[in-house]
Amino acid sequence: MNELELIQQLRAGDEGAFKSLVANYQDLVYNTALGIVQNSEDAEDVAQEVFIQVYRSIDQFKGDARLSTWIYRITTTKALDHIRSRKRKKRFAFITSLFGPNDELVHEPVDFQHPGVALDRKEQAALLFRMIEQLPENQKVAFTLHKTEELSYQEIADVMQLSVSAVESLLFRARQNLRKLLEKYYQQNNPQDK
Amino acid sequence: MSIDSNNNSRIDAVLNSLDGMQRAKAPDFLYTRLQGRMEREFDQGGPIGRWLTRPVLALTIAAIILIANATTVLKMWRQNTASAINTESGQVVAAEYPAGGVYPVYNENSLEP
Repeated sequence: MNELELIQQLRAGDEGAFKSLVANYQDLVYNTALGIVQNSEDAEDVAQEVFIQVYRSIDQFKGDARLSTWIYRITTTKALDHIRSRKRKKRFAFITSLFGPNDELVHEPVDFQHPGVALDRKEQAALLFRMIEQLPENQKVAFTLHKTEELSYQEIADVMQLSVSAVESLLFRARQNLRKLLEKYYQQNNPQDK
Repeated sequence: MSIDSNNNSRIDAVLNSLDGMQRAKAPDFLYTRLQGRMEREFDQGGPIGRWLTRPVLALTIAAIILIANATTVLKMWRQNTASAINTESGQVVAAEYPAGGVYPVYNENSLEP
C-alpha cells in the first residue's frame, strides 16, 4: 500500500489502514518523542497522543508534504506540549511540597539513558541529554531531530517549517550553547581544571 | 596535553556521543494500549469531555452557582428592606402632610392680624 492509498483509506475510516499506519510509524514517533521528553513512559504517552491526533485530523492533511514530515511535526509539537505540562506540574508539586509533611520534591529528574546509544558512550550521552534539556525549544527540536533521527537539514526545515539556512543557524547555536553548558559543567565538577 | 585541550576533547566526545545511535523501538502492544485509550477518549467525548467531568471543575461550578444564588437572595432581601423603609417613611410624610389638609406652617390666614 503506497502513501496515497493509505491516506485515502485513513480518510475513509479504515481500521486496518490505521493499524498499518501505527505499525509503520510507531518507532519514528516513539524515538522522536523519547529524544525530546527523555522519559520512556512520557514518550509512549506522547506517541499515543500523536496517533490519536493523526486519526482525528487526517482530513486536514493536504498532502503538500510527506506523511512522515506531517507526523514528525505533530510529534515534536506534542512532545513540547508534554514538557510544558510536566514543568507546570513540577512547579505545582514544588508549591505543595512547601506545605506538605515532608520537604521532598516530587518527580525528581534522573539521568536519561537512551536505549539506542552504544554502551561505551552511555555516560557521555546521558550528560549530553541533560544539557539538551536546557536548550531553547526550537534548538532542542532541531538538534534532537538531527541526532536521534538523523534527519537532513532539508528534512528538519520541512518539519519545522523553516528555511534550510534557519535550521543551519539553529543547529550552530545549539552546538555553541551545548559547548558553553559543558564547559561550565566541567569547570564546576573539576575545579582543578580552572 | 593542556587542561584546555583536555576539556575540549571531552566536550567534543560528549557532543558526538549520539552519532550513529540506534533508533529506540516503540514498546510492545502500543497499538493495543492506543486502541484502549481511543475507546475511552471517544466514549467520554474526548479531552474536553474528560476535562468537563473533572471533580475540581464540577465543585468549582457548584460553588459559583451557590455564590450566585446567595448574592441574588441577599440582593432581593436588601431591596425588600429598602422598599419597606420607603413605605414606612412615606406613611410618616403622608400623616404629617395629609392630602387636601391644612398645613399649619403655611396657613396664611392664621398669620393675618
